[in-house]
Amino acid sequence: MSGASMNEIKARMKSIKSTMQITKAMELVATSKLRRARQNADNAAEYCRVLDKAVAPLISSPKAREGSLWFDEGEGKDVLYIVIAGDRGLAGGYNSNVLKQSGADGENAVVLPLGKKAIEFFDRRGCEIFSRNCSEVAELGVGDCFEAARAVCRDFANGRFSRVELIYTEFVSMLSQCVKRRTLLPLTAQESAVDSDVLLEGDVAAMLDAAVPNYVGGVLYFAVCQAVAAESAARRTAMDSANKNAAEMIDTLTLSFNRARQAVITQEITEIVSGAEAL
Amino acid sequence: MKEFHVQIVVPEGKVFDGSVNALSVMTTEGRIGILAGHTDLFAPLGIGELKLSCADGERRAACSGGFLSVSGGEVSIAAVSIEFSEDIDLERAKKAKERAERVIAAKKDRAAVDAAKIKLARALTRISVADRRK
Repeated sequence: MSGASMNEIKARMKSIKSTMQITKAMELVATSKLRRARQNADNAAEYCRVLDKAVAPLISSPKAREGSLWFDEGEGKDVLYIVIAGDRGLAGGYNSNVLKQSGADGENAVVLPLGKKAIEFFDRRGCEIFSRNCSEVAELGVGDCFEAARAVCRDFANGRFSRVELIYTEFVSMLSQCVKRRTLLPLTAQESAVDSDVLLEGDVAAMLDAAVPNYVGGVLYFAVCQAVAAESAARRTAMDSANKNAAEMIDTLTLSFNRARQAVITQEITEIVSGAEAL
Repeated sequence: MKEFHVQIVVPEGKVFDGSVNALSVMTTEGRIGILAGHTDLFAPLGIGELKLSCADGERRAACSGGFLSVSGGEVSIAAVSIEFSEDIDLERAKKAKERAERVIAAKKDRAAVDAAKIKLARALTRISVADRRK
């Protein structure tokens, strides 16, 4: 026990303190981002609910299903996975959860990654990538989502893909986010909502061609909003526990620092006393 | 006049939720008008003007695509974008119109011209909606 170990403990405490400052700042940033992201997610959820309700009569209409390529799953073609992850790490298990559960590693898998982490992950695995346009998921607006959806729908209509799967993280609450999987295309009829008396204005096939890209775009935007909110929430939780851990470590180190200091003082006293006795 | 309930949402949130006397909207097949007690209907929306006749006056908006559904006498519109006349930036719309016209006149890239035509239609709708607010 000597001044050396005291200095060592002091240095460690200093480094933990500076880490804690960073995690604290990140928590604050995540909290304020989360507030906005939640608002967006709530609004998009409302939109998606109305959208689903509005489109239900078209999708479940038998007239629309007949011979339409939007309802058909082709044989032996590629499957497109749209995977939404974050742009940055330090969000607990947020990125790894959604990327691992994407299941996009079959032979016919093509991936449309949204978010830098998703692009990095699928690049590393050597997956075929549909487009790299959506690298900053937090910056994606309504227009970007609709544009991506149009490109996806075009290739689905051309017969390149047999299925389009969307994998994202749903924002359930501040403490809980869960990975969701939704088949975007081919469309699946909601049998419960069948109301065949609905008047369909105009040519059904043309209507579907116009409606599907809009519908997919709307759902995609909803998923992006959910994912951004989930990422902020995950980061906030992760940073909160990092803060707690740092505080705990500082407490333990303070204790051992005080012990070391006491030991040094005791030793000094002993030395002085024994020196005085020797006189 | 009998009123009915209309709900309009865009991806950014709800923009209108209330009772109206009449509603007129541009679908991909042309303009349609809806009054109270309309039969159940589904129609995709085109780019065009949306008119709401409320008890306290008329409201106009520029709409650029989406869906209209009437179910049980209630109307829901899920639009890609809706701008009410009072929110339209006329200068911006005019600039967008000029930009689109230049691209169309240049006739370089087929895809760019098609995209510009859609932009032009949107800009023209905005301008005509905004012009009538005076």
